[in-house]
Amino acid sequence: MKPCALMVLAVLSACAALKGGDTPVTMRLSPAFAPGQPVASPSFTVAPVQARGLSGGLRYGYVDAAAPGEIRQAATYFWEEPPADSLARALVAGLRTRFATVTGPSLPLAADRRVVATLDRFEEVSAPTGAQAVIAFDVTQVAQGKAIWAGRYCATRPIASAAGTARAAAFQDVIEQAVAAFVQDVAIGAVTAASC
Amino acid sequence: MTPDSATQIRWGLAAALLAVAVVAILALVPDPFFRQQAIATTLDDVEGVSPGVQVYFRGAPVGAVRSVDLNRRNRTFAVEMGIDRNWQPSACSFATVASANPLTAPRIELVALETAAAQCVAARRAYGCDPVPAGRDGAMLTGCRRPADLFETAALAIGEAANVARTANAMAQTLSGLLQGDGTGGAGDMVQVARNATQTLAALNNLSTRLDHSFTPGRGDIAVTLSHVRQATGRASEIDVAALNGILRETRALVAQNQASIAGILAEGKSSAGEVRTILEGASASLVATSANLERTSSSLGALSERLAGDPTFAIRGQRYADPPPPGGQK
Repeated sequence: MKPCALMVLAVLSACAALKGGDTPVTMRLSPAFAPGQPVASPSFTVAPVQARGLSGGLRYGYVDAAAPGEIRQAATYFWEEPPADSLARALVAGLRTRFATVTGPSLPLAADRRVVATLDRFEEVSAPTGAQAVIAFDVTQVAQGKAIWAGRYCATRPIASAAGTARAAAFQDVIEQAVAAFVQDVAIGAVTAASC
Repeated sequence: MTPDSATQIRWGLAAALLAVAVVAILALVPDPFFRQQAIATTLDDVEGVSPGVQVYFRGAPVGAVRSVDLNRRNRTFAVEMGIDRNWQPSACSFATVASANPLTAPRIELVALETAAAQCVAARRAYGCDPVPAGRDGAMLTGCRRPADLFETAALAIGEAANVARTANAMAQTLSGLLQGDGTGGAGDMVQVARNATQTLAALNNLSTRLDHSFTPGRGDIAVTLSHVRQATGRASEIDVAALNGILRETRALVAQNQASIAGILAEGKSSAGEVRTILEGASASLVATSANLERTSSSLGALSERLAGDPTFAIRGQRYADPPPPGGQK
């Protein structure tokens, strides 16, 4: 009996040791915006986007709707780049659809306006009825050392399935939706009241 | 014919004494068959190395430490090693201590770089060896200072970032003065100053990126590098994260000031300083990225310190993660 038990233990240990790890899923975000009629003035520069807490991490974050105060991190889902960088790229791309001279964090040239954004939420909210991608960011426009405009933008989008592609698509949609609302406000010079 | 008993006793005693002498020589003389050569080095921190600890060369054991003596004049250690006679140092060789971790003992590594003696200083530095000045004890082999661990490196990098930001600001102000003056004199010098600052920034940015990665919970080297575990638990409690954050705040303010100065200079559009403009644009972007990376490093350092204070095994075990449930319970 004893050798059998030892054999079983050995086989179980070997199985546990040889079991492969989980395959990580790295998700890419490529926000795109419909081209518009860019105007020459004013010029913009987008500052590096700061991220609050875990929103800035490469590990996919999610919140259970039953425990909204607890942020969890996925074991195998990762972003290709920090979400704050994706947002910065989206802000540059979005502004370029309406304004001719827009530079990003990699080329911080002097401009008429400086866009300073902070990513507040970038997470999945899981609920028994379905999951949603959520984004929220605060943005301030600075001109000649003074804040001239501040607003908050957020968006949500249902996540169709558990696949990485579906999750990435939902987050890409929310970034595009929120940034498009921001760009629209900049173009008309007004601040829409945030829905979040 | 059998010898008499007195002769037998004399021969017996002689044989016993000879055996004791042979055993004593074998046990007490470090290299009784002269297979080794004695090589001395000077170290500033032996990190647990003591007589008997093995010496390795490119993964192979080639000898052992014979003695470790503290030099009371300069507080360094004279380490004598018995090394295989077949091992010969190259024109650029040095000794370094490989730190202990929970699974391995400390050991000394001999490194022989195949470079000419003239390039040795640069090659040694590229390898990460900061040589300990040899005392008067006739050390034959250069010893390396104990490399800074991640925590020390992070603290130094954050301090250095503040210095670089200050230098960049001074540089921008000087350049501004030059451009507002005659516009030509000294611009060449400034190109050199700016280029040097850019190189420093690039190195710092590289370091800060590595640090940012290293301290990222669950993904960074710190979670898997066992050699840091022993140091991590002790060092984490010594780091004054609040002070580092203070320095970072100052750095952020300096970076903002730097951005404004550079933006002002670039807006002036003096064509004589075309190269300087290009370099400044790069330096400015690099400084911003460095600042952001260091800020994340400081934040991760703080989180890690808190974790390790509560659970010292966290550095080995890492953190448990679970994927989110499928939307709506579907598969």
